[in-house]
Amino acid sequence: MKLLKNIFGFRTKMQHKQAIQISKILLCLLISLSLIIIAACGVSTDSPQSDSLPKSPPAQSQEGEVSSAQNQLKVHFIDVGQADSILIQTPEGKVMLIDAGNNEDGDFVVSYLKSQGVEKIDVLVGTHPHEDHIGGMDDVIYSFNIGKIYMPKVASTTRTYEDVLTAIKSKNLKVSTAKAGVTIDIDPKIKIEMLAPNSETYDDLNNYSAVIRITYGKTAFLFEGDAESLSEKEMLKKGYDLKADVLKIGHHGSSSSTTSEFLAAVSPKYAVISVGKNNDYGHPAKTTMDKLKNENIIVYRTDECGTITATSDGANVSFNCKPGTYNSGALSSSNSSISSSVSNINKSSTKSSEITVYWTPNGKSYHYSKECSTLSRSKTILSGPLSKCPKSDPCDVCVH
Amino acid sequence: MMKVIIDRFEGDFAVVELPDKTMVNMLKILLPSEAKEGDVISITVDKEETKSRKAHIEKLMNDVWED
Repeated sequence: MKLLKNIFGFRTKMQHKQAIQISKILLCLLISLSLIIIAACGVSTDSPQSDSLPKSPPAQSQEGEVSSAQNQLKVHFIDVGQADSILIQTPEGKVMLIDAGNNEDGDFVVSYLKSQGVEKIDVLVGTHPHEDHIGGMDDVIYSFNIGKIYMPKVASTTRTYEDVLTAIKSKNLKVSTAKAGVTIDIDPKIKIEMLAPNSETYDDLNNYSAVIRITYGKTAFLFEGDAESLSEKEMLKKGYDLKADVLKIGHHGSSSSTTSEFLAAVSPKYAVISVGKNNDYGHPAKTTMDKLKNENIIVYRTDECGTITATSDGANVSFNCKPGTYNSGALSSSNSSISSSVSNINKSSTKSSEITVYWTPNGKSYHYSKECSTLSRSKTILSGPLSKCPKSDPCDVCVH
Repeated sequence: MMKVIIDRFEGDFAVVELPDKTMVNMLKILLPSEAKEGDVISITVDKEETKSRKAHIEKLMNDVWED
């Protein structure tokens, strides 16, 4: 089915939409269920998020958790399919959101943030104006109080981007340019700095990606957006301290990002890949996964974990789910289905090259066509593959 | 006339935005080679070319048809 759609060139995301609707229903059920459980038990539940239910935010934060969440930097890599959205809750309770998923993820991102007790977004970052990063941002802007907004100063002609700008304008907000050298002071316990973009213009929008490094105590996170090798090289050239415990891999693990030099400079213990299950683009690339595997970097991926949360206490970083695989994107399997169908075609064409021919018991020729005019008077017409035909003379009329 | 906007390129596809903001994958080979991110692509029926193709095929049919 997928192969067919791709051959026709178009593949709508309706299935994804339906999946989201289903997951929304599940989410409502889950929340009501957990409320019933909480009410019934009269105690707060602190159950880990189930791996088998991606896209289901944990039940409403409990009062008691707020104090324990203090002095923690909590990073949520929200499962928005083949897109990015990262919620950061700082040790002093400030909120930062990097990207907001696809257009169709807007409502989901809003509900996830609400489930985490978010009322105000102190800093909103649109890493770059591609739909899989800013798609849901208009919904987020309309739904929350927004402090500062950072985006690279580059235009996109899409309605998606227009809607984000319109949302910002309608709330009388202003945008600050995201670029290397910007620091964001929202919490004295952490340091937030932008390491890219380093140039004024690029050919590819991905390289405009705001790259953000957050340090808390001895731990550091580096969020790459969709920055590609060109931007990675610039960051290396600038001599920035790139070291991080957790690297949000650039561009969903595509081969255009995560150069060996950059990976060596960041030297992460953990890599997080925000990527859609069975996406059409082959993300993450085998080359990227091989690099991570060879460096023994532990990988967490949203296509396997669902929403991933990483928590830092300033000394160590812990995750809510099991490490993922080093498997590359679905393209390898769809490639194999293409190649297997190709080989099937080859097989059937090999069979059909064994052409069926026709002959009469007493005639001397074989014919390609049963309707050949020279056979019109024959009562008995035999047929079979050419190799089994007892006649060796090709008919002058129908065999070319 | 259908107008779509190229949001980005991913693998073999251009991810294009339809007027209602639905995103669809369009094979890159269907697009002009100079097409880039942000370009508005008009999809139209080429009535002239359709007409001349039809005439050409009908002439061929006349040449080979028996009845």
